Amino acid sequence: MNRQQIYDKWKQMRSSPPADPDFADNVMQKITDFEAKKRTPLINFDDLMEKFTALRFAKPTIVVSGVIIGLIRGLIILYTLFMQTACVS
Amino acid sequence: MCDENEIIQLVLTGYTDRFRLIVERYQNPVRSMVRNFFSNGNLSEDIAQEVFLAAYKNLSSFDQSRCTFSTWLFTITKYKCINVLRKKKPITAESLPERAATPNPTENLENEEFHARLDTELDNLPIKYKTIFILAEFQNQTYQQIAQIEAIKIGTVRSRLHRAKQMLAHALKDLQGDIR
Repeated sequence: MNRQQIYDKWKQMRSSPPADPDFADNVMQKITDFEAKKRTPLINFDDLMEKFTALRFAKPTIVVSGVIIGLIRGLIILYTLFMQTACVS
Repeated sequence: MCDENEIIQLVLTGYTDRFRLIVERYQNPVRSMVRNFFSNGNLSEDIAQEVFLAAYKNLSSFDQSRCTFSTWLFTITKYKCINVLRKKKPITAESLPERAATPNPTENLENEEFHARLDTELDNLPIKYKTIFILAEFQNQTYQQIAQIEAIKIGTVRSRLHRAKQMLAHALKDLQGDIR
């Protein structure tokens, strides 16, 4: 075998990679993962709630927040009523 | 066989699974091109997969009036390879490609030596010569296609390929290599 033939053999070896039967499947899996990631919303509220409820002070925080919101709401109603009566009188 | 542009249109309209036809059609040339840039088989398989993923993500930007799909795909492959090459570690003996054994051991040894030298010298070529050499010699791309991929003139492609061959031949002088 002369040099040119050896070179041609090298070229042929370099041009034809060994077969990989899983290659197309692997690419399609990457594409599926990419599409799934694209569809996932930026903020997942279920995950967020799960993480929040796992916190130590989650329950007291919710109760206190509810009380504060209730108080503010009551104050707004009282203020509105007071203003209405003041306008009428 | 389905026309490429038809497949692309189908993929763009949501038939993602049709992209498999493109992968099956082009996996060998892309894998071969990547393998010629990197001796490491696992790394080159990962890069080849990344090439197809990048092609999928950017499929809407493919303009058939500017170039053929294969030229577009080879351009993506080239850029992926160059990006990885920039971060690449030095080549180790273990990472050199595996070869099939030949029946004659003496001939095998001689061929192995010549092939190993060719592999090393190809790896040592400057990237602009290496890319053109790979595209012309292994991927059988025409000068015009290479010019499109590299965004250079055909004359430059010719001269770079000639220079790459000269460099390889010079490096193999002590083995009395004569390549066309």
